[in-house]
Amino acid sequence: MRICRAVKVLSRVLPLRAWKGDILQHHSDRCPACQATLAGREEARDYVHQPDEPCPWDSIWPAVEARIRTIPQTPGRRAYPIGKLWKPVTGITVVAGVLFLIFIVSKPPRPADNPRPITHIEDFRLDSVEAWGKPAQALIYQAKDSQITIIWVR
Amino acid sequence: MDEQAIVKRCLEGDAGCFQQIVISHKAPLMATAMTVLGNRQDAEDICQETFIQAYRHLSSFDSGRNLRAWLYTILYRRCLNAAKRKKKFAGILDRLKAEPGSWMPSPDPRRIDPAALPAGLYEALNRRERTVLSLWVNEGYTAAEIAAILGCPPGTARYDLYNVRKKIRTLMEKTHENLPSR
Repeated sequence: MRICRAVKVLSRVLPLRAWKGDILQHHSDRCPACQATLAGREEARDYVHQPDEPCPWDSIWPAVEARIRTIPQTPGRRAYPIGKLWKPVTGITVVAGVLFLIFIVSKPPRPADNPRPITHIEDFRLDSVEAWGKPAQALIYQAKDSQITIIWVR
Repeated sequence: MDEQAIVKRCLEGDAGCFQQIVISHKAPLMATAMTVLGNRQDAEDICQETFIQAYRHLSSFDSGRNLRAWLYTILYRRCLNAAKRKKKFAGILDRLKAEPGSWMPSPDPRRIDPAALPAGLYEALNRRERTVLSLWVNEGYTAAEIAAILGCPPGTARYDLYNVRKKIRTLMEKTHENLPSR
């Protein structure tokens, strides 16, 4: 009985119905007590309609026949097996999409891709310039659209 | 003529040959459809649609597969779609019934409806579970075969089957309790 309770608890905890089904059937096949809580095939017969019930199904074929006469058949044509392939194809597409997104997000930006705005350079003034203890002439050069200022002294 | 030969003949354009497929499979399909949907009219419509769809896609039928299992797969999907459609139009039908003098089709007096299933079944079991039950009882299919029809892993079908059997047992016990003691 302890095992039965453990199996029931486990079947509630497990996240997938497929796992629950496997564990429950594996146990109930071997446990007479659990087997007694399940209806048998013969017992369940009263709960379904039977194919041999006295109920005429004669109206089906005339209705089907009227419709299928207009449907052309093309022998040898095989349907595209998308029914079997859609799961792996969808999975591969999703994985590829996620990898692509990771690549895009993690890629370091190139300087050209991400130009830094040019900050305004503060005004500055040179009162006097000396080179090796002697007054010198200074040439100030600043390229357009650049933050670098070059001071040439001679 | 075996089923492979019948399928081949149908694919060659002999639509009349399809009658043999309809005759051999209509009763079990109707029984399942009635168990799932709960009424004969809907079950008949779904069976007709199933056979028509099967004929339309006969060329894609895998000859290595069981024809009846393939028909059950179509039937199951059709039943689910029909249930969705019915839910969608339920409000409109209710309003039609409520309005005095509104037109509603009268039942066919020639129709012989089969005996109703025990009370409580439709509340206790959902459509999927009723499909599992019907396939298990009428066809004797295993959980793996049922899983192939429902398009789910075998373990999931095993879980459904376990729950169905448990619920049926509970229903049986309730029925016995409600029976008047002599």
